[in-house]
Amino acid sequence: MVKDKRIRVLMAKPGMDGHWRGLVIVTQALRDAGMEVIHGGNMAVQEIAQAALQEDVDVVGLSIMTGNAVGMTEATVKELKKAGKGDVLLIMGGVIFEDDMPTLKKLGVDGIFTSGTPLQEIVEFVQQRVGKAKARD
Amino acid sequence: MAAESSGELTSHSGIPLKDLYTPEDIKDLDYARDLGYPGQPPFTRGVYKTMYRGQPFTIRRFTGVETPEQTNDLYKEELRLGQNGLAIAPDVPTSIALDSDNPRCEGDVGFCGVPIDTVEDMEIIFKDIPVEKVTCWCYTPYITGLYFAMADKRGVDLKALGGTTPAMGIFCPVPVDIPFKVSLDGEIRMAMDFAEWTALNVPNWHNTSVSVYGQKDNGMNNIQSLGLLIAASVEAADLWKARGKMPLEQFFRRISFEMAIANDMFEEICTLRAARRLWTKVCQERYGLTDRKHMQFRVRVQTSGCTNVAQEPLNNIIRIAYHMLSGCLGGAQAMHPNGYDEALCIPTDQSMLLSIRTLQILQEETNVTAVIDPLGGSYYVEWLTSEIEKGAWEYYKKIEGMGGICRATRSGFFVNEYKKANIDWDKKVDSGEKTVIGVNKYRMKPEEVPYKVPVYKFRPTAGQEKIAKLKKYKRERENAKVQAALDRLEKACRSDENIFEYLVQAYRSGATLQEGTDVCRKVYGLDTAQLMKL
Repeated sequence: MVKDKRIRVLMAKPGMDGHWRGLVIVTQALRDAGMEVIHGGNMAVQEIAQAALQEDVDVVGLSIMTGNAVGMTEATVKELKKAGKGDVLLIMGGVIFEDDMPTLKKLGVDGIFTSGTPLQEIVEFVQQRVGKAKARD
Repeated sequence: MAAESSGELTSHSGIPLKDLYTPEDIKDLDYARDLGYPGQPPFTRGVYKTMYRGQPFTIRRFTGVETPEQTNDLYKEELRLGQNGLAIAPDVPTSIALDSDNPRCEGDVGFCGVPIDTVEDMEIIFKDIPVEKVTCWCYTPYITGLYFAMADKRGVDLKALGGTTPAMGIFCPVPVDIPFKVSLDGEIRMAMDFAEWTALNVPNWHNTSVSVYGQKDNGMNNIQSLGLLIAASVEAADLWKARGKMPLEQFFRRISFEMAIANDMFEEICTLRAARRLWTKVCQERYGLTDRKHMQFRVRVQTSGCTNVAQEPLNNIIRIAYHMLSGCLGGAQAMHPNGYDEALCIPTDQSMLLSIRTLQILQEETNVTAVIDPLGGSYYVEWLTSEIEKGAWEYYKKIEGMGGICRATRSGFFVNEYKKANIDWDKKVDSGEKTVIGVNKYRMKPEEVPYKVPVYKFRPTAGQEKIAKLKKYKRERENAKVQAALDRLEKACRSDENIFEYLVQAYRSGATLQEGTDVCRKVYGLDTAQLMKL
């Protein structure tokens, strides 16, 4: 069987917050760019890790609007590592405090895209970072 | 004839605009029939006879911070600064009626608003605040139950309480699955019982209100929002009538509405004018109402959060001021100006002060409130008001043609509407077709912006403190009494009794927000609409 060369992405909102616009728009943009995107909606961090594993994704995208980006990322990364998916490309958008960005990078977030980012920038970032790795598979 | 030199200009809702309007454009307008006088049907010019001279708009901001104690300080400060209405912004778990100690709420407690688990939390939030004098907006019937239980415990006569709960907003389609939401049947029972109970016990409460704030803020345009609002209100009124427990007039007597207000200034103004006329038409033609008190479209407007951007955040001060001016020229009864830092954090002290002052300057310096409906009679404004009304009426009829708003929602119609609206908008911003200053035009690199603004700093330990406090509360209360009250609520849910009565009693007995709601979850099941599983 030929392995699917398409980039696989899980998009989710860790926790219960209902500000969903960014998640939906980015999901659509990545799909338009030919990626296979699983739209998870609101998920517990454990569910995110399980879905990342089961769906064998290359990318996990988190949307966080509540102000607790650090807490949620810390918990998500811990669960991803536990599930053996610590190596996914981790991207994030939403309301992210500038002061938190170094901490988030340190936690393992590869790309942070706050509101107003042109969608193409996100698409290209994912393609460049994952696309090459996929092409080598 | 004026040359159409400005090209293909359209309003935000897509109505093509000419560059000049003349008497020709409103030749079918009949003053008495279509405009009339303020305080008289069809209320196009305003719901009250004297409008802002007799009743200045209320400054009502939607706020809450990470603990009940800090929220109490915040509310007292807001009132000291001259804000004259309160609106409780719950944190994420409270908004969906989960307790702070629920493991599923890890990381969400105290974020985006205030955590409220118990009547004691409510007592702390409103400590030293004269609730019989200041009106309060509550997010859901469940949260309102805690508010009433607090007032009752304090010995306040519930008949003196004023406020609003958008209880009938349950029919407005939300674009996303809300986790642990009670099924629509359960929500209907709660909303109706809440409104009937409140009509008797808290008669000054706006108990049948409908909000389409979130619908517009999530991408619906003015025509869609207003069409939806009518469809949702009609669904609720029809059900009220079918239940037959209270006169139909009761449903209309204390209804009020909430709408988001955004950037297209004249469209915003005309939407409020059109809404009043359209609502009057529905009240008269569909329900045969004759008393003008039952046809008044009273509305609170709030800056649509999505218009506030993170880039050059001080620009939002200007946007918000225009929004509030639109609301005022449109004749709104209460207004919420966002903080300019909306896209960055919850409001800081600085942005709170500014947003209160924004309305005070509008109200007390600009003199725009002196004359009622000052734009009435403008060829453009009257023409656009009619266009919005027509568009919204068609949208409502389209929903009705699908079998009403509940069926339309179940068919997935609104999921597509939301998706389309959002994706279209984003494409237009990305391509530059729609301008957002500082985002897709005149964009600066972050380091080029010559200022930084402070952001709200959460106390990182606040959530853990709240969880510990709730656990202690649950250990120390009279659990047998709580259980008995919850059992009584369940019995009511399984019979024809008013369930809201027993919800308030359960809260009064010490049950938590989630425990009361869990009874409804158990009896009525959970919502499984799965709307936005794309």
